[in-house]
Amino acid sequence: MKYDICIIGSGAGAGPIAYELSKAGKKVLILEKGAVYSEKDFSKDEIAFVRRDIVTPKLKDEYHVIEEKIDGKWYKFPTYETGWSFWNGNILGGSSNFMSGYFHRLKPNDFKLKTVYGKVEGANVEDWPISYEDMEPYYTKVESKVGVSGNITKYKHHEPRSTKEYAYPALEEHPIVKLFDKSCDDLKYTSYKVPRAIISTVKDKRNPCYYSNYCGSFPCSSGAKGSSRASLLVDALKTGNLTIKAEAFVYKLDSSKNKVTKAYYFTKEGNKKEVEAKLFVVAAQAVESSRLLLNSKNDFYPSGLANSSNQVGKNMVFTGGGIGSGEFDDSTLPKEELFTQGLFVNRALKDWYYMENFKGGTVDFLFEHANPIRRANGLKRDDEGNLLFGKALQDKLYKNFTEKRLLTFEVFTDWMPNDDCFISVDEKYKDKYGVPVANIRIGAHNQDIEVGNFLAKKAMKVLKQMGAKNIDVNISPLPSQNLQAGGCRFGDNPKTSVLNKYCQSHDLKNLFVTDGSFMPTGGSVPHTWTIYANSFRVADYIKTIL
Amino acid sequence: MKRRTFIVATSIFGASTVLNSQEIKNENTLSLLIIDNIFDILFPKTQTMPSAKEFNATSYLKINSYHKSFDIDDRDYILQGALDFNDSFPNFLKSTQEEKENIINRTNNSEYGESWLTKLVYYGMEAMLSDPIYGGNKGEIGWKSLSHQTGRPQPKQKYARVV
Repeated sequence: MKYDICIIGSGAGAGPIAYELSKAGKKVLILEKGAVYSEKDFSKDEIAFVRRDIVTPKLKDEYHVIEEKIDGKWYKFPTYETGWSFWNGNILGGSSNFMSGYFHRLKPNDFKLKTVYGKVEGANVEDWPISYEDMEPYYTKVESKVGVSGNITKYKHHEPRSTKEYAYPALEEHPIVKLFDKSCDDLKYTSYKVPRAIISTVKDKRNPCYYSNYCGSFPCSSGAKGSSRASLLVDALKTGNLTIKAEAFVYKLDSSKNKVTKAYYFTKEGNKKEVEAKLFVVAAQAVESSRLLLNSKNDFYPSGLANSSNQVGKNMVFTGGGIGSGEFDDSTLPKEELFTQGLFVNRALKDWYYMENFKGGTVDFLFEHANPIRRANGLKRDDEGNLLFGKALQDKLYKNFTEKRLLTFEVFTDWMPNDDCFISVDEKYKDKYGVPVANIRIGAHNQDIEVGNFLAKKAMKVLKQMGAKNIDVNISPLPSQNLQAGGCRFGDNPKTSVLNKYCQSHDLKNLFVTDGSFMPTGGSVPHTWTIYANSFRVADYIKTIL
Repeated sequence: MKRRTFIVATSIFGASTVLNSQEIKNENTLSLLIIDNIFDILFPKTQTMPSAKEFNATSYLKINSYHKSFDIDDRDYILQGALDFNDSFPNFLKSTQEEKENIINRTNNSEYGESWLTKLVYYGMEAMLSDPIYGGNKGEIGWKSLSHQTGRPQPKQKYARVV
């Protein structure tokens, strides 16, 4: 059978295409590398979903190679040696199943950073070929279709909206929020109320959030979290027009000069299969999407499919910044309030999103994730780094779990795209299928660190004002492995970009890339809302040509 | 393969072998016996916390280390490390509690020993704090001791097997 559309991947970049085109009567095929799970398969099992490679490949079988600069020279580290996994969810719905759902739109100037701030030395910042106004209706669509809850915060950088409120009422908040808000007031900071991709009331067959206390890193058992699977693919399947082939690893696309003709994939059993479609959409998450195109080189495209510009894999962007935390005990909040479980903090600092001379960013606040093995493992050493055991270890675990809660913050800077951050493939490093893996060079621009430190100081001030103890911060040039974008930039010039403004290949008109790969810059926030919105936007365009 | 030692100098506890082949059926059994004794030192019962025996640390490791998702390098490292430990401290199993603590302290001061103990501490924590379906955290004793409220639903199948 020849499908109308073949989509590689099923996460945030894929779901809207499958949803819209299947509803439009097109025959859609999803090739998903992972298995199909539903809410009834999900539990708050830390071993299965966090500690083991159950929903991600075993790194010995399938890995990435991280290229790090040490003393001026680049070295390659396969992730099976380091354990630093860049897989984020090989499962129907992809990594959107495991996101925390801290949702932020980009703002108008994020679409034209080069125009606003000029060229930054050593960085490859480019304006987007579309504007915020082009994207706004689709951000709004995500609010209702995927489900975004919250209260609007009016502040100086607030982006224009076409609706007054988010589609769903705000989730219930933890008592510490009052202390956070007051501290921000004292400091003359805006306490920004973060919208979440978690529904607070029933939506069709999706149940609202039940405050399980195990949210980020865990799949949602009620369907409240706006994963691509729960919010879009379940409905798309009801049309009868969507076929999902699970445990299908697409390793190559074939093409003529002008169009993609076939996708080749391995089944779970390791058998090679192929499929034909009129139109192909790649949405395998940015690293893997670039890898697929680079591994699909042929006589027409000897440097990789859709790569006449030699830009495939280039200018990867992650989110820069780092993390910090402060400890709270019953000296700042009554114990029964402090230890209230399951309720959300949902606060951020965004007053410094734009600075006069540089792009600032966002700081999200959240309680330390609840999963206890990860938490205990972080307590196994003393202040000098010595391994604890015996009574000293047991006492430390008890004291930390029963007397303290850690309020953490995550800093998001606008990762500066640069010549030292890109994807490549080579013949030396191959996975268990014999397919070259992605090499990820992770060079960061100095501005990421400077802005990260600038924002972290603001966050630490808030924690101090709140009465936190042992405030700690770690700003790092290392990328966020779960927030990937770039590698197939969109732009108007085919010589300097891979995709046009509709995320359609300049070279092959029936090829689209709709995960975060298209983004020239990441907008100092998690990318997911923008990926969803852009995918809805591209879906509307595909409807006009298919 | 030449086994590494946990100590630079010869053990002060002498070289006599405590266990003979009849007592120990195979190397894994010996390894697990040693690990079981070491878990007792790593996670002793305190006024507030359960002992490794109470949360089934050794049993948890034995049951789960042969699942396909378990890091095979970790398993081999842990089991081989126990044999190397036995070579360095052959009287460990018959030592007093105080002597055992002293040996673990000495082990923790060598690079190999610290690395091996770190693995045991980690998997001990897994046993203490994972869902009881995996065989540790008996009666949720680890969670209860730490007043930890687990998330719902709890797993009905191990390793997220699709039902």
